[in-house]
Amino acid sequence: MLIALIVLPSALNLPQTNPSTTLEYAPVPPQDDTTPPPIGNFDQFGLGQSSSINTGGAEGGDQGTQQSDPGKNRSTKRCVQTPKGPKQTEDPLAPPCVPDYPNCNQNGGATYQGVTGNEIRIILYEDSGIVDTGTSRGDESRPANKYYDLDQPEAQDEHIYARLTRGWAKYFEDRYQLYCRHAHFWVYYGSRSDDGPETKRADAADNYQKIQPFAVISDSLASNDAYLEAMTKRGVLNFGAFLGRQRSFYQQYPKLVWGYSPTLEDQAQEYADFFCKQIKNASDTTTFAGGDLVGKKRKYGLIYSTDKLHPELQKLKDLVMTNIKQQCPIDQANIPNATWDTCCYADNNDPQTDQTYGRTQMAKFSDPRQAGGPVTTIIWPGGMESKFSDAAAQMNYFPEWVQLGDAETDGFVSTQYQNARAFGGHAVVVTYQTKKVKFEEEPCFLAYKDADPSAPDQDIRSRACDLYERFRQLFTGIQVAGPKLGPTSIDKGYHAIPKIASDDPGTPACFYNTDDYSCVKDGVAMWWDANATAPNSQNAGCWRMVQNAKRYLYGTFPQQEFTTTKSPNDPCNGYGGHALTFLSARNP
Amino acid sequence: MRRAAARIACITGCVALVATVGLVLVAGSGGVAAEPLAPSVKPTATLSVGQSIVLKNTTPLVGDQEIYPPSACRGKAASLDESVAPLTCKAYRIVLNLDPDPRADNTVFIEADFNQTQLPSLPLVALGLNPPPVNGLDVYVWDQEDHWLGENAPGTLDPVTGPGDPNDEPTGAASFNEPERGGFTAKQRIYDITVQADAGVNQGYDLHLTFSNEIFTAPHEVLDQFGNTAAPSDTSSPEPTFTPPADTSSEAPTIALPEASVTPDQDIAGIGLGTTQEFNPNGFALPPRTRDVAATAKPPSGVALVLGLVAVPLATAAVGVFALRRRRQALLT
Repeated sequence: MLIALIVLPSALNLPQTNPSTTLEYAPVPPQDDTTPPPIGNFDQFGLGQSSSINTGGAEGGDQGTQQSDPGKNRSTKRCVQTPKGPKQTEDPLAPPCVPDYPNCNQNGGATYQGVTGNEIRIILYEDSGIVDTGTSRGDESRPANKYYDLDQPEAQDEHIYARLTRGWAKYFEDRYQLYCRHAHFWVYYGSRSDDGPETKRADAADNYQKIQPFAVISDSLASNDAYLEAMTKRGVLNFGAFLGRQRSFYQQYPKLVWGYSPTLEDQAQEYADFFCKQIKNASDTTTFAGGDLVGKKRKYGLIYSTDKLHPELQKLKDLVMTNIKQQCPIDQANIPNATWDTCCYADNNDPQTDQTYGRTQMAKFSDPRQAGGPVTTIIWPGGMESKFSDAAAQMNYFPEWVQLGDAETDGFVSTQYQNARAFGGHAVVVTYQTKKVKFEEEPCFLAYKDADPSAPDQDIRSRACDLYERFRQLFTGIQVAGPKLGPTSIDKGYHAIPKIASDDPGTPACFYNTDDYSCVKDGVAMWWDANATAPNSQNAGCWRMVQNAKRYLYGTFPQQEFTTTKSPNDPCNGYGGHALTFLSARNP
Repeated sequence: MRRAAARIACITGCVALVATVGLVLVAGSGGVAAEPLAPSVKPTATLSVGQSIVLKNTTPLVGDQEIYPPSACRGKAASLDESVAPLTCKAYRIVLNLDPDPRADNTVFIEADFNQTQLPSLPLVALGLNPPPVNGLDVYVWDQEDHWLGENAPGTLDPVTGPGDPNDEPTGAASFNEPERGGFTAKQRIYDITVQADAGVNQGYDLHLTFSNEIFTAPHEVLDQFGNTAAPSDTSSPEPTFTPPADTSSEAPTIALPEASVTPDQDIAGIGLGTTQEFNPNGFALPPRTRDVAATAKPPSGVALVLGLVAVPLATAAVGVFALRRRRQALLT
């Protein structure tokens, strides 16, 4: 019995025969709290053009470049890892990473004019006759008819745009896949901005004869089309902001002209979509007017410029009114008009201009004796002008202003010249601009610093960032084209970009529809707060971005009364405007 | 040099100036010709499409603010004022063999290479401006004896104010620039070109003229291996409306399938993957996280327990007792 008591417990144990070791794969959680970056149009982008490209295996930050290590292949790129996969840079619009292209001898060599097996020739075109003020070197007068070859050492008196292009060239060559080719830049200062088209054509002929570039990034202000047309005739690709252009402008030169800004048709469509869904169809009575107009039945008026030097504004007006007529016809016997001539100055105090036009026309708009009463809601399809709001405030007339953003009317700098009483809380703008934060936090600023940490901040802020979108578009095209670089491969690469919305306020949806060659495809609505201060501004007045700057693809604004989308805590946009011109000093 | 506003020579006083301006405006607007180019002048060059020429001058030219017509530059002064013109300008007659192709833009490109001097000017430099250089040149293209291209362009009329003639495009070759560069679209066969010193003394120049019809063939383009030349189709177009297929399961005939022998698949590699996929062995090269576990076996049955716990111990004890008794008996005997 004693033996039984001793043996029994061991008999209930599991037999200890042949202990073994088995492998177990345990999931390893991420070791950081990094927020996944926003979705960009390239996140689902497949490189259909470059079947030979190895798209996997990128690791961030340790690859280096040929500039820093001549022993490495020129194609080796420094990508960044994101939850959406490795990408070329931190920018949400950067293409998927192509970390290396080892088959340099298979890139096709001279696949197009301006392209060889190891070089892509590119010109940045600038007007002359301009003094660039407030640079890190003070005020810099532009040379004329002068080339800067950026493969040569920097000249002591090199102008600011040549210096800045060195930084961008380095950045994109470091970070984007160029398939063993070097981006060889020239910066050319041509004729004056106010010279005529013959002069610009002569510039183009000279550029082509001397450089025979693959592509041109144009920063020309005037007569730009003549230069562009002359270059496209020669088969040169053109990249630029190209503000205020119709779709047909691009379609004249298929595959050769690529722009960042939306076409006039897209802008008009976005404006009309917002106007119909959130203003007209949402309420028959005013919702953000002031004074005697609060809660009144809406009556619409129209403000536009008749300046012959800005035909794009008349076209924009026509497109907007056509869209409105189609989407939400205005049931009025007539729509009162107010016009002005000399356009697009923040404050037009030109002594040759009749300064009474603002008062005269606002008196007409505010007249309660007219049929249907005073105009309560003003349709304003672009063009900067501040006399109307001044006149309206003087009359204690506070209508709703519904503006279209044209890169100036949607910037805080020029809008701060609008009358604060008239615009504060009573103005809304529909724009394609993205949300801008402090300059030092902007992706373009950080990108430039990445390439040139010693670059003066003020030069980056005031000028380099203005060029970023154009450079990014060009180098994106070069990468997505694949090794066989040419306009057709660029066209195919761009049109393969997935057409998805952006969920990042700082990033537009950027893709290309059929026969479409412009990038931005979405927009936002903003309302004017006369008391708040925008990032990058020291003065009162900012455009607040509703719904935390949520962006809507064209035609997709929600059917919701506008004021229900806004909040006093809506963020201010740090976008100041692309250019600002004063016809004369502002009156005290 | 480059006037901020072009000057119109006042030859015979203010009354004549007004008359001249009126006449020029008509000419620039394509109306009644003012004074055609002198037909008797021997052409300097005849240019066909694609041709370039270089006209060199090594004779010093003395700068003057007036703009002299071609005849004056050739020494045929119409007034005392114009008698100095040969010292300040040179005139060239060019004849163009225009391309009649409707696509053609018969264009002449101009470049004048020379040396000019940039003088320092502290007040202007302080304002960020470059002072006007000296020893520079201007190039004018004359379609009439008394009208140069761009003379009536908006913004260049002095003292006339108004919109000017928007079709009178400036050539751009009369500026502060070095080199002077410009061009014009030819609307007639014959033009006169004058090269004139502006300020200081110009020591010579090379005048390049290139005639182009601006018709170009598309550059050669190496395409990808598939040789696609057309733009890709737009993949964003809305997909066709999806119509679910009708449910015809109830109509399906009952099929009696014969049983078939199944050969078990002994190859576990590739389970769950497509035919063109395989496991990436590198994916399993992760550092193993190991732990020791015991392999298990079946529990003992009830019979085994009884035998093991009762019978075997009792039998062992019995055997032991038996063995001990035998040993004790052997010792006793």
